[in-house]
Parts: sequence; structure tokens; C-alpha cells
Amino acid sequence: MDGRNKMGTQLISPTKQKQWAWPAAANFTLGGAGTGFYLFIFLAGIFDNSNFVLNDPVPFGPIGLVLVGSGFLCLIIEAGRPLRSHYLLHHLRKAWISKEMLAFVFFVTAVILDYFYPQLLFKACAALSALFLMIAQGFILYASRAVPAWNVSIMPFFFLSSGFASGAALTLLLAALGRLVTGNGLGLLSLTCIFLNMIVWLFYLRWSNAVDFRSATEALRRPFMMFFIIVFGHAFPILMLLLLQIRAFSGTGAKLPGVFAMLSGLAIIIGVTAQKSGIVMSSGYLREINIKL
Amino acid sequence: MPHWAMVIDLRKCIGCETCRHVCDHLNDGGWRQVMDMVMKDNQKGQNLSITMGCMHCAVPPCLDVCPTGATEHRIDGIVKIDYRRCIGCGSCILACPYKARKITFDHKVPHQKGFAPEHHGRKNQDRIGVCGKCDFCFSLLDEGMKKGLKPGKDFEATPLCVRYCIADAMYFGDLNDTDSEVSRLIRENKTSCLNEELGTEPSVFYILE
Repeated sequence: MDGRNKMGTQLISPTKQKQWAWPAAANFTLGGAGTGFYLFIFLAGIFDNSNFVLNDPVPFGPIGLVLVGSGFLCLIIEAGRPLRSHYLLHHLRKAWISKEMLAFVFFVTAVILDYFYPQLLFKACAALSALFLMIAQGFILYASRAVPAWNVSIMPFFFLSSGFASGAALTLLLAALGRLVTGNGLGLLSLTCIFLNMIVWLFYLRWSNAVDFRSATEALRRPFMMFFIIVFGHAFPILMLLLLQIRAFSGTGAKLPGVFAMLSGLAIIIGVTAQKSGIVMSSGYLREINIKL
Repeated sequence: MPHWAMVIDLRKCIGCETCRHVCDHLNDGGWRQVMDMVMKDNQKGQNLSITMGCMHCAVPPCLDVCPTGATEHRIDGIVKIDYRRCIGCGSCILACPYKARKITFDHKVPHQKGFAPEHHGRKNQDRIGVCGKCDFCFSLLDEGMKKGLKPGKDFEATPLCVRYCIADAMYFGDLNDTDSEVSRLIRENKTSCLNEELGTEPSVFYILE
């Protein structure tokens, strides 16, 4: 026995959860990327004033849909009885998985309608459901009371910031491939999203001083992970985008140079993937069981 | 309305794990685990075996996360699973702070026909790929009560682990009945619950000393 702590005498020490593995991590990563991409393009269209929301130079709705849908498909591998998925909408009042599913249904419907009958109304509906889906995924983890590293109130905010960051990354990749015509606003918006995600991540790592949270998230604070996520996945693209902004404001070049944008986009995608898979697979420890003597 | 609860007297428990074996064989699941431990911080150096299953919390964290509504909280306090609705998503496993739930993928678990009362047995196939946990043998309770039996007092209407405990360390009964054995034990002894700080209000109480 490991002895007493302030909560009582430990009977069972924390063990790693085996229930949700890479399919769940893939669902969260792809779901965040798909919804984030849709929302990012939608917002970038408003702030950037480049009209690509209505003109649709790239089918960003279907791309978002495929990404989110792929995430859901991954879950089929993990669920014990996936053919009963129609029951998923039966607990909408409280279960975040049900809410996530409903948001997905709305998202699919709005994107398909918008694809065939392009209208701002459908785009707005799709954006709203994408936002809700993104937050719902954060609440799914937050509701897992047995996992101290997930059951923290910053989790939905992290899913929001990481979703936008990965959305920015995909947009940068498309811009780099010459599929998006964008102005300076895109770089600035990407920079903001990535910076915010880095701040939220640092807050998450220091969110609680509770022993169970600290030990569960220890793997995420190791030098290699810190370097990989913070330096490579965030600081590096931030630096790149800052250079681009300076270049743009000094009048050297108004558009995003391809290599810079592509490298930034790839680094963010890798960083966000490492964050989410790290949360699900490395820090998913079930809390200890204790008794007061 | 009764509130079913269990009291486990750890002073009497000898760690034979009969409760676990009975649950394994008759419920096709293995929803009970027994932890052996030495109380190093107890001056007596007491050896303890702690049997654990679902705590049937009054505020069950597993209930709200279930997306299909397969997890139900009965009015008598029992938390049960509708195996026909469960999709095996595992969200309840990650919400339960007592490690009381698991998904069974093993098709080979024997169903001991003839040993279990027929009304309590369920086909194995229903349990594959879905989440399982201790349900206080509610079907035994319900059937017994229909016959006018009193759960906890009458053998036939009592959960199997309590029924077969060879050390007489497990008690079952109605918390709302002040005359029940469990109410008396809780009144007369110092009891503890697991992970009390979480505020889940378990219906399983332990007597340690």
C-alpha cells in the first residue's frame, strides 16, 4: 500500500485507461481539424474580406465534412456495437456524445445543402454546428470524471483553440498550394489562433497542482514533448508567420510565400496532433481509489 | 420506496474471493474485484481484503455521459445497464471513478446453466461488445419481491455475492428501512465509502474497525 494522502488511503493506484486509444485521438484530431477548418475559412472570409466564402474557390465545406466524418468512422473500430449508433441521439439532454452527434448531423446537412444551393444562411448554420461540435468534443473529455487529466474545465477551451489552430494550419497549406487567394488577414488570423492555442496549452499543463493531475500529465511536460509541441508545433510557425507579417507590412510582399506557409501549416498540424493524442493516450490515467480510515 | 445498499464488514472478510468467483460464473462478467492489502500506516499492521464492484452511487457520474440512455438509475438506487441499447462506446468506463465497468469481448465466458436460477441468467451474446457492471442482481430482487420476499433477509431475493459470502461479511438491504440490517450496521459502526471526496454518494459502505 502506498500510504495515506489527504483524500484517504490509496487502495488502487492510478492506471492507464485502455478504453479509448488512437481511434478516439484520431476522432478528436480530425473532428477539430474539420470543424476548425470550416470555421476558420468562414471567419477568414469575413475578416479578410477576400470573398472566398461566397465564391468558394475550394470546396471547403466538403473538405471539412470528410475530415470530421473520417474521425467518426475511426470510432467504429473502437465501439463494441457500432451498428447500434442510431441510439446515440437518445440522451441529448445530458450526454455530450449525443450532442456531438447531433451537431454532426446538422453540420452534414448544412454543408450538403450549401454545396448544392450555395447560400450564406447554410454556411452560417454549418459554422454554428461546427463550433458546437468542436466544443462538444472538449466536453466529452471534461465529463470523464475518472480521468483527472481530462476532467478539467479548461478542456473545452483547449478544443476550441486547437480546432482553430488546426483549421488555420489547413488553410495555410491550401494557400501554399495556391488553392486560396488570400490577403494579409489570413496570416494575422492564423498567428492569433496558433498563439492562443499555445497559451491555452501552457495553461492546461499548469491547470492544477493536484497530485493525480500532475502525475497524469507528466508525460506531456517532458522536454521532448515540450519541444515537439511548443517549440516545433507552435513557436516555429509563429516565427514564420511573424516574418511573413513583417514582410507584408513592409511592402516586400503582400501574399503568403508558399514554402513558409506550408512549413507553418505542417508544423501546426503535427503539434495539434501531438497535443490531442498526448492527452488521450499518454495522460489518460484513471484516478486512484482510496478510502478514509 | 427502498434504497438498496450494501455493507461490507472488512473485519470479517477473509479474502477468499468467493464473491468474485460467484459473480464471474453467474453473471458472465467478473464485475467484482478483491484487493488484498496490508495497512502499513495502521499501527496494528492489519491485513485487509476489499471487495469492490459498482458503488450504485446516488449521483452516478456514469449516468450523464451515456449517449444512448442505456445506463439507467432506478428509483430504488440501483444503477443498471440496458444491454440492448449499449453501443460499447466506453464513455461510462471513463466516467466511473471506481473502475467498476468493463466491456466484454470474450465469447467463451461459460454460462453456468443449472447453477444460476434461470430467471437471472442471460444469454452471453447480449453481453458481447457492451459495457457490463454489477447490478446488485436486480432481477433476483425484483422476482423475489414479487413473491413477497425481503431482499437481504431472504436468500432467494439477495444478490449472489452476499448470498454466497462464506465469512458472512457482506450485507444487503434497504437504507430507508431503519430496522434493516444495513441500517443497523451503519448506525452502530463507523463506515467509510470509496473516493468520498468526489461526492458521488455510493451505496456501498465498508466497516473497517
